[in-house]
Amino acid sequence: MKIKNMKDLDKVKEIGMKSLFPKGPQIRISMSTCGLALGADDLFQKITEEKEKTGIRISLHQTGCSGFCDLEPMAIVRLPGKPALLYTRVTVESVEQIIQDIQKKKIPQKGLFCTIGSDSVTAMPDPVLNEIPDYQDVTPFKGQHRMLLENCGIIDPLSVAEYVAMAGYSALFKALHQMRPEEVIKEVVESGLRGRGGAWFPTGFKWDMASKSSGDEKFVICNADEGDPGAYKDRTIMEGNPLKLFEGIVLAGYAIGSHHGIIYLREEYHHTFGFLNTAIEIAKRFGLLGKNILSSGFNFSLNIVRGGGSYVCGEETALMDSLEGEVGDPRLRPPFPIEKGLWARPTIVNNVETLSNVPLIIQNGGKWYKNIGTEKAKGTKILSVIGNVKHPGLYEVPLGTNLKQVIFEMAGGPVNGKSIKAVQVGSPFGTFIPADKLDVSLDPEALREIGSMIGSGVIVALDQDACIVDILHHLLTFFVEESCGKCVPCREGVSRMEELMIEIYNGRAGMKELDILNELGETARDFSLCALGGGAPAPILNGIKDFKKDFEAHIKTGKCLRFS
Amino acid sequence: MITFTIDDQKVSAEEGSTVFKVARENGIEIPHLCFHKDMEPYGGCRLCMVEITENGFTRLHPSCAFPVKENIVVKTDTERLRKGRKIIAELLLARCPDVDSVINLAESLGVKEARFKKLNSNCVLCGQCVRVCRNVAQVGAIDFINRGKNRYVGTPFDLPSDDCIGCGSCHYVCPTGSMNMEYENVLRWRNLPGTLRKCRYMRMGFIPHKMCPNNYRCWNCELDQRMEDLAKTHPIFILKHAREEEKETIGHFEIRFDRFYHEGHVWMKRLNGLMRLGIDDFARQIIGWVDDMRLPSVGTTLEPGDILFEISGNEKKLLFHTPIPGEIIYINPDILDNPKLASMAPYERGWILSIEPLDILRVSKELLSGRSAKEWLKHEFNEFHDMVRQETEAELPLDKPIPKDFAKTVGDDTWKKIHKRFFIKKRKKKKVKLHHIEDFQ
Amino acid sequence: MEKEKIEKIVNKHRNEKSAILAILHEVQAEDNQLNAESLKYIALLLGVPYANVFGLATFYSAFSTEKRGKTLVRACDGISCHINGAEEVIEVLKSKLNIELGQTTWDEAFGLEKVRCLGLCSISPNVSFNDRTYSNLNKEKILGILQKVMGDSK
Repeated sequence: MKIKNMKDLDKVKEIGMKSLFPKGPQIRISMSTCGLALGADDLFQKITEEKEKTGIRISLHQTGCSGFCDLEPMAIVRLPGKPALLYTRVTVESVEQIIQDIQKKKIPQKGLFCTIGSDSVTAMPDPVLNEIPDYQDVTPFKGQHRMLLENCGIIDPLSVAEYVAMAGYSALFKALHQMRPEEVIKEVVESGLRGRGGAWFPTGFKWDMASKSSGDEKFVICNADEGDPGAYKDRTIMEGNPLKLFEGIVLAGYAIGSHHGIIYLREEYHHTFGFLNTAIEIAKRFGLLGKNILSSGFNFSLNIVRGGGSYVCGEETALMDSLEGEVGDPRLRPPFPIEKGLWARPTIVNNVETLSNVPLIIQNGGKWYKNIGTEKAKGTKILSVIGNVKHPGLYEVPLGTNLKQVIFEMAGGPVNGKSIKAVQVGSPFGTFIPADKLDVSLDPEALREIGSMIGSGVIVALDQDACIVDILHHLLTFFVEESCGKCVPCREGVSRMEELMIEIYNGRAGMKELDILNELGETARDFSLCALGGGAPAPILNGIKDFKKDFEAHIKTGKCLRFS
Repeated sequence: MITFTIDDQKVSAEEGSTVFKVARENGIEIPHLCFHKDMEPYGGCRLCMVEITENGFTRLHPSCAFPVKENIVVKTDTERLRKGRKIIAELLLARCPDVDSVINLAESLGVKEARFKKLNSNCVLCGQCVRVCRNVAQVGAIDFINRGKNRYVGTPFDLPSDDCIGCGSCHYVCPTGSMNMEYENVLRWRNLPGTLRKCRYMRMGFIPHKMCPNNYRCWNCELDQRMEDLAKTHPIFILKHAREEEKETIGHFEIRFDRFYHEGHVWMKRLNGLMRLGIDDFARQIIGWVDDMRLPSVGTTLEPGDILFEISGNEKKLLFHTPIPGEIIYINPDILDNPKLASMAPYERGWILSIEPLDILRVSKELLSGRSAKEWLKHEFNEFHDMVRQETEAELPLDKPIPKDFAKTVGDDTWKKIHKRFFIKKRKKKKVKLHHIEDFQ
Repeated sequence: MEKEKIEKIVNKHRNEKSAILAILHEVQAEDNQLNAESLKYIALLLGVPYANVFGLATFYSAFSTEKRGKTLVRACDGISCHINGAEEVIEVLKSKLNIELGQTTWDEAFGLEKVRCLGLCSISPNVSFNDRTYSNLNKEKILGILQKVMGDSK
């Protein structure tokens, strides 16, 4: 059925509400790439079998991932009259017991992690429930400000009804029927939204320039290449709430006057590719993509192009070359993509996270969005905290949150009683911040002041056993492998830096080589064609400066600091 | 004229020029390696980087590609630039320690030896050979293989190329002298039997027919000498390609020479046994905007004279005839998503459908192309403006495209006349079923 | 791949050069290789130089001009997997399959590759065997999985 007006939207919303808050018992299983890698499909299968065996009337749904993949497989169980319950690390063996408990209207015990939204439900007092903390009070969800990830892991990502029930598509409806494109741009400019892919360029400004560029066609490209190792926030949004992303893309098209969008998807995300294509078909059926969207007369078509496995294709000009059927060599700028981009037409390239912010901005207003974050950086950021912490995962926090708070309070600090040695913010191009300087606000300006950057939000925590030289060498091998090879400073310079780093690691180099590393790094930083060669030296040069002891250990003994 | 400053010297330049060119014109030589005056800038060697201050911000830019702008301040020889160029030269020297031009370049920048492990390449990956082969000669026998530090220039699987035309332009532009495709291929061609020994100027496209009388000793050849004297560079750079004269404007209608035309104002282009088809610029300008279409279904067999499709826009409709007999194989999915493409890009993404012709050889003989198409369009242009003058008593400008709302403002009677005269000549009795776009989803 | 099959794939993508990635993905998926004949024919159908298509096939790491193993083992070596012990897991894979990274076993049953990253960073180390991914790995777990997979493939 195509959604044509408010009445249709309300009808669909009702269906969604009934689906989210059913009268009978319900189980939801996270079936994203991470859940599947940990056996969620076996779990789903077993529950289906138990359902048939016992004849129990229970609705079974799929959800996306919440960003805490090491708690997968996750399940949400709804019993009539009780708040939703989140279960983690659910095993196939425990399914029988769960079904039995549900039949007896008892709360299953094994793996019970927290409740979701306990205060909204008035029910018979249940002693078991009183012991169980709520989603908002339990690590690792505590303290987060989940706007973009609000629905991930909760709703069925392929259900239009459930998304509409969570206020989905009210922004697009409002924009297409009640706002002009200039007004949409105005809201985005007012919100202060900046690109979340790592460049932090003001999104509204980019859209404004693109809308003023002339061309017989304009393009919206959603950069879903997510090449930064350690980043999976885009995958989580795409597998948990793809319709929100589509809504954001259509809003972008409406704003700049484009009728064609392309999602450039990372090649390594096999499951996501099929999944997104299914989501597009479903959106088309409901009149949310294609011709005459929401009966507004606005046409917008969206298709997905799989990448070829190349990190440099996440750079916007290399991405456009890749879409044109060429190799991903970055282009010279000027001309800029907003004037001459894909096929020499005006093009905007935005990250998945950036576009997912747009429906919220249009729905609630740029003024509302401005209240979150710092003075120059508004909104939330999804941080991917990985490494030696107790609770690695995706943390969505307002910009300006303190790094120490994220590492030690939210992510639980280091494991096994060790101490944190360094934290890299903005991997792979961010610098390693020593343990005594972690008291810094997570926003682009504050981090730039200490010589670091926030990038796409990957935060790597290293404990006392980590060797900085090893990690820096690992980063360099990544850059060398992914370099496109067009310009000399990156192709030759960064690969020579990697060679030198191996020599240092094996104790075959001295202080002189550190000086050469610095020279090479400075040249690559200033003279490279794109941000890969330009950004690669930063963590290396800062690492040499801030972790002298690690380097001295290798230079003198050829062994890591903790062994010498 | 644009005025700006280079190295404290005020200079003026034509718009569209680059900082590098203007510097050269004013006696300032900036180090470079991958630049070639007759090709698009590449920006790979990074030696030509200069400091440019624009609106108060100073950044480094490659001068070979930076367009001149009013009031920018350019510095070509600062400490930072010198340091960087030295490192780049040192890196190149470590890569190609035995190449004379690299050694000379490094020396000129003050670098005598490299502190890195030496490779033994003789190619600096400046990309000039690839660019000249692909973009200038339009052959593409060589290309970049792999990426990053493993990148090299070569042929697929390092096998001798069947595409190479032996023009030698790759060898000509190579700054290190390492490119030897021409030599390798010439050696192969010497073993070919007589009738296959085409002169390389024939392969390049300069002359229609010539056999090599010289056993491919091109340096001894009078023709080669004459061509080089004429060109004052490698002759490939003065070759005018069909591609450049691929389109022309007749009055204000654009015509493309890489396709056929039918008098009902559809174009057809051959693509692997199928004929792809769309409306031409004449039809596009007359309708102005395409809002909607009605199309035949895939699998329909049609004969010349049958209705093929209908486009509507600006409150008017246009019907188009089938130009050739055949079967409908595809409808362009982009058109189904967005019919406006037919007016936005009628010759490219706005193509409409593909037909499998019953007899493709007959097709080529019966349709208009090249000169005949040009003459026909001239005739249509004149007749169209005559008709407009007669019917509406208004004059449309002869050198500007037709106003976008022309179809809306013109009366129904006039529209019928235009339709009958230029689009549908005779209506056939057979009824062809056309479907709305929604029916294709 | 037979010419008719290649024609079908190229026609499906409307003979457009911009769809080259999708075309190469499809041919690679079925043949496990992009060999000279396939690349030449694709270039011919699209009207682009053969060397250009070959350059594309060698630029992107998803494609291989050599025959890749029937089961492609991709071991993730992103920073999270690296910190959590991916090196050990990769050593086990190298020794049990008896090949180096980037190589294929002599019977063409397995190919081993490094990849960065699979987007499963909080359950690292990760290894995928074709479309099936295994996470939270260590030396013992990967040995067990290998035994099962190698046993199944016999």
